[in-house]
This record gives sequence, C-alpha cells and structure tokens, in this order.
Amino acid sequence: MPVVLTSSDSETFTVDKEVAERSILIKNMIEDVGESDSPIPLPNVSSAVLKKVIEFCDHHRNDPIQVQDETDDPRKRSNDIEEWDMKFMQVDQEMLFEIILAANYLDIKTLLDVGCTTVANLIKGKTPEEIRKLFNIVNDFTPEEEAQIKKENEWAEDR
Amino acid sequence: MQLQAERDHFVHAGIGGGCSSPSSSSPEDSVLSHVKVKNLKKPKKPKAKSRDGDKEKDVRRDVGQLNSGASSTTKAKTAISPIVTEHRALVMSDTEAADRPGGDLSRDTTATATTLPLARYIPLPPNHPAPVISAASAAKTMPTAPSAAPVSAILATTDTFLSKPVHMRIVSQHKETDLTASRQEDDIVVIPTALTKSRLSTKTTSDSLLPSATQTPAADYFSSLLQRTLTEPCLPVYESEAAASLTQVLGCDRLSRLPSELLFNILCRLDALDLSRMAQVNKFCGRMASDNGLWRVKSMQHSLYSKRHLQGRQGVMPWLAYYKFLHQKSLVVKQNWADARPQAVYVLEGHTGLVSSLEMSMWSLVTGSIDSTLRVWDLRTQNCLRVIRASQPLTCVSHSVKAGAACARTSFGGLCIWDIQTGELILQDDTAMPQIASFMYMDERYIGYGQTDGGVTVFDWSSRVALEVVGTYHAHDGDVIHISVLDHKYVLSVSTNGETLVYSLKLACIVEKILLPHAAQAIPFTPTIHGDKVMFSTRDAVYESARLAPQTVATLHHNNAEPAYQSARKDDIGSSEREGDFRPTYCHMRPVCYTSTCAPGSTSTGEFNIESRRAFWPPAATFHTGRTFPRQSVEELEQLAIADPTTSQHGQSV
Repeated sequence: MPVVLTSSDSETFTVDKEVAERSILIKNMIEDVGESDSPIPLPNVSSAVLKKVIEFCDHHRNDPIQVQDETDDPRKRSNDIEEWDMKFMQVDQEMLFEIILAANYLDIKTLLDVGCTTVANLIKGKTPEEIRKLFNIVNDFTPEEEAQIKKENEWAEDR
Repeated sequence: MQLQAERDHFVHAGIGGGCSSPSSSSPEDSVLSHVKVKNLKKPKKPKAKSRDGDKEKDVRRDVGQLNSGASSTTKAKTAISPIVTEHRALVMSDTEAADRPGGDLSRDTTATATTLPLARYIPLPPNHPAPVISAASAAKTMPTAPSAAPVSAILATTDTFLSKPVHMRIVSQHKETDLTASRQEDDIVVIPTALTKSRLSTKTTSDSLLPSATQTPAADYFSSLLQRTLTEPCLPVYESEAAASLTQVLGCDRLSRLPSELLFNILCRLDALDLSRMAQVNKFCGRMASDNGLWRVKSMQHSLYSKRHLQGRQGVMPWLAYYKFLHQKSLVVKQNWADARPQAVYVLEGHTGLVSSLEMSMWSLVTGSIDSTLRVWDLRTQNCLRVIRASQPLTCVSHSVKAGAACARTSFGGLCIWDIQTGELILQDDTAMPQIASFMYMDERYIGYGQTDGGVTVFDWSSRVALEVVGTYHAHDGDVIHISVLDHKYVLSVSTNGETLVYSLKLACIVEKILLPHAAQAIPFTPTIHGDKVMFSTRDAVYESARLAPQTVATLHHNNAEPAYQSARKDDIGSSEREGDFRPTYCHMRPVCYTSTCAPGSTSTGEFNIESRRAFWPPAATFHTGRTFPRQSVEELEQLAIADPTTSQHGQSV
C-alpha cells in the first residue's frame, strides 16, 4: 500500500510503504495511526531534500534493517561508503547538511551514517585553515590562543 | 478526526524528539530543547479563546523567560528586550484570523481538505519573496526547524534595531482578512510565520506604543507566537555573536549549526590527527573536539586499548590524556614493525598438535607441543634434528646449548629434562611445577620457572638427580614473561605489568625494581650483569640499573647509544661504555616463521607455526630507531593506575 508524504512546502510524494518505512519515524507513525489514506506531513523536510531521501530509501529498500543496538561497538564502525552512496552524496554542501538533518529527523540510520561519513571524509586530511574555508567558519581565536592550541595539539601530528 | 489529532500530536513529538539533544554540551542545545518542550504544549486554537487573564499570564511568563534568557547572553540583549516587552501590547484587531484559521489555510495552501487539521501545525514555506535579502538567505541556510526562517528574518531586522531601539508592532497582514487596514507604509520585513501561516509584519512605529484597547485573544495568541519565535534561535546566535558579527553568523558555518549529537557523530569518524586539527579551527570546534566522551570512543577504538589500564581507577577518566598515552605507545609499535619486518618466513612441519612453546638459541630451536613431543630444529637447514617423546603434553619448554639439555613442563605439572644429543631423559619430577608456567629459563645450572600468577621459582638441577629450590618469590602482578639468572647471583624477571625485578639469590630478597612503560618490549632481551649493576636492553634503549642493593628505588638510566634489540653480551656492553659505540649482538632471534596472529588451536594440522610468548615481536636483524620513549610515559602509566608494583616482602630464603 502506498504512503503519501507531504514535504514542508506541501509537495506530496507517493511512495511504497516498504520504502517509507526505512524511516523509523514514519514506520512508528504508521504503526501508531494504522492504515490511513491521509498524507503524512514532514514539516522539517523540504521537497528537494525529501526527493533525495526517497531516492536513497528506494535504492536501499531491500537492505536488511539494522537493529538498533545500544551497545554498538565503536570498533566496528567503518568509514567505508558504498559506491552508489558516494555518488548519491555528491551534492552541494547545503544539500548534504539538509540530508543529514532530514535523516536524523526521519531516523534513517543508514542515511545518517552515510551523511556523517561523507562530512568526515570532507574534513579528513585538511589543515585547520582548509577546514575553515571549507565550511566558512570564522576563526575566533586570538593569535596567542591559536599558538597555544596549536601547541596543545602537536602530539597528534607526530606520526 | 480523532486519529488525525493523534497523529498531529505525534508529529510534534517527533519534531521535538528529532531535534533536541539530551547529550548536548553546548549552550545552543539547552536552549533548543527548552523551546521544543514548549512546542509540545503549544496552545491550540481553542486555547486561544480562553480567558484573557490566563493568556496575559502566559505572555508575561514568555516575556520573562525571554528576558532572563537574553540577559544571559551578550550585549544584544539590551537592544532586544524593549522590543519584546512591547509585544504584550500588540494590536491585533482582527479576531477573525484566530477564529477561522482553517478557512485561511484552505485558501492559502495547496493542501487538500483532509490535511487541514494537520496542516494547522505544519510550517509551510514562504511563497513570497522576503524583502530583506539577508533574511532570505538566512532562511535558506537555516536548518529545517520550523521556526528558523521567521526568526532569522527577525534577526535580520534586529540589525537595524540594534542601532535604533524602537517599538515593534505586529499586525496580521493576511489578505483575506481586513488586517491590512492597520498597515503602514514606512516598511519593513514580512515574516512568514511557520506556525500560523498568517504573515506578521514587524513595524518600526515609534508613535504607537500604547497598548490597544482592542486587545483580543487573537492578539495575545499571535504575540505569544512571535515571542516564541523570537526566543527560539535567537539565543544561540547571540552567543556566538560575541565574536563574529551577525551577518557572518547568519551567512555561514553549517557545521557548528548542526545539533551537537550529529556533530559528535561526525567527529567520531575522524582520527586523532583530524580531530586535533578540528580543535584549532575555532573555539566551538575546539570545545567539541576535546569532548571527553569523544575521546572515550576514540580510546576504545584504539588497537592498544586495554581494560586492564583502567582497572581500579576512580573518578572521571581523562580520556584525552589516556588516548595520548595510547597514541605514543602505538607510535613505538608502528616504528618497530616498520623497522623490524621479518625478512624470511619458514614453515617447519612435523608437529601434530598445537605448538605450545619454543625457545631459540644461536642455531637451534626447541619446540614443545601438546602432541607430547619435543622437537629440536636446526635453523640453518630448517631440519628437525631430534624428536623427543614425552608421556604427557608439553606446555612450556626451554633449553641450554651449553648444557646440551632441554627441559619442559608437562601439562600435569611435572618437569622433565632431556639430553638433546641423545634424547635420554635426565631427570623427571612430576610435582615440580604445579602452577601454569608462562616462561622457563634454563642454563647449565639453573632452571627458572615463571608463573602466570606472577610467581617465580628457581631450581638448581646441577646434581642431575634431583631439583633443589634455590629461590622463590611472588612479587609480580602480571604474567612473568622473562627470567634470567645472572652470574649465579641474581634473578631478573619481567612481567606483563611493566615491572622488571632483580632478585638476589644470596640475600633472598628483591634488590631492584624497575617500572618500564613498555613491558611487552622487554620480552626479547637477555640482561647482563656488569659489576654490581644490571644492564639490559629493550627495543628503544639500554637500561642500566642503579647499584644493586636491597630495597633500592629504581632509576632509569637512559643510554642513547644505538638501541639494542636483542641480547647484548656482557663484553659488548662493557665496550659500549668505554667507547660509546655500542653494537649489540643479535645472536638469538632470527627471522624464522614468526607470526603474531596465530591463535592457539590454529596449528593443529601439524604445520609449524609459532604461537608463543616471543611471537609478539618480530625479530630483526638490526634495529634502528632514533626515537626514545618519552620519560613522562612512566608517570602517565602510573597515573593511569596500572597496578602498583608489589615490593619484595614475598622474598624468602631457602
């Protein structure tokens, strides 16, 4: 049975229930409310982002659903992204962050993982100045503070 | 209807749950979650019709909250408070807007009729161009939180307010109603309100301060809405505004606008180097990147992380400091593996069971196996020279080339000594080694027996008839991983907890205790005695003990000469002291089928793989590292409450 989703700009999307239920939020919502024809409003997600999210969910519709494990072993966490996901995430930074926020809101763990890993990969191997440039971050250190913090973090450079 | 109301409520709960972050540490989030809670009990339309007095109170409370919230932030508060308090006196002449919001929406949105009750609480995006450019761009860059757009618009207007504190008047500007009547021309910002879908225009009308006589429930309702939107993201913005100008904050920096649990999630995926660089980006990133919880995760991901390090520790764990300790440790490990790669690997086949223990000398190798055999190999040809059959599985072996003998502990606690040349049994004692042996030492006179519980026993077997216990002490906390008997006088033992003890056989007490930060590295070394000092080499330095005397406190003497990897002979060390160019001899460890990954049980096919106490470190032909292990690591180690070394009270004479 298809599910109708309404984005924040009131565009409606009709998707398969299986696809929509990749989102734990929507899944719970459907469970709570029961079968209903009325659209599900997603006031935090714009249509452009929702489109991407649905694309992701559609591609991963047959993946086994990861059980939410509280004792998630951090050692197991890897930074590898599948090729399709990597291509999927080749969007501008604005959209990338929107997707992460939407994934967080909709509770889609795989998408959140992919998004966060993508951002982490953006940061990797960059100097502080490059990171600032990348995200348009304002450096609010005084020169003395900056020298101090640089000294404090020298240990990690030693490898 | 009932159903939809439920879903309606659920949606809101979802918003709150999705955005609030319980683990957050930044001030931003505390504000956010506070606001979200308020959202959950947002007054619905019927409530707006209740008694005026009630709402008056609500509004006052809101104003109070805003003021108290604002006062905790920066200078901007002084400008914003007069504006806000004015909201209480808003003029809202149109009751119709409040009375028929459903009707308004149906015309305003493209939503179908069935969505109406839901849509009332759904923020719909502005379809109109926002007159203030920065507001529009801000709305785009803001997170999707429903109130973000309107508030950023208000913020943009506060730019002008900051210079010119004025009074603000809010009117509903909806076209279908008659509110536009009170619009004035010297104009302003049109704010799309997420919550009501009606448009509020803020006005700089310095003349209309008076609370209107026509104050209605609707007016109160809208003013409280505006206050809510004002309270919401304002505070975090002002927080960071202290350093950066408002426009800069609005126009940039997606990263620090993320909810902190998401940023935490991202940072967890970075390695230490990237995190240290993140910490230098700005103050906010610095705070996030030095978060204790983050370094807890990083420490646990570290390959050298060990629960043993944390045993007995109380209070808050300084995870960053601990991680630095692990990091330095891993540097040494990396260096060692890089410098001391096995050059050749041979597989010696013959055993039919797990190889439980082995020992090498110059050209020979002795291996003991649970297949109840002891094999002697020639390392030059990789041939098996002799197979000695025992009655029981062997768990630990040692041999002495000088004595031409090999010894082994049997799995039931016995000790057997064989002649290597002939394979004859010289001596057997079925009760000599009741504890599990973690290391055995053998020379022509002594057999040392290190136990997994930290005990050390030294036998004299020179009579070749019976074993005589000449020394025993129980002073280690970890497994004993090395024993040497030096000059028939001293026993030097090393354990996994980093202690090196020197025990005097004559005095029957411990005369020296050295805590090394890297016990594992002390495994493959042969200590020597030089005068009244003990010298031994580890991977990175040659250590020389202080004068041996009962109860001396350990001193580490760092010799920065070429570091010794393997056994250094007494004469070599002597010459190194004299000439300053110390060349250690590498007589024991040869690059032979060394593996550190071989787990017990994986060698049951009879293939010879080494799984032994010595397999941890690869052998090296030469070992060069310019790096000396930082001295402070010892203190750090102690600080991390690694078991306090026991003193020599267990020493007893026999």
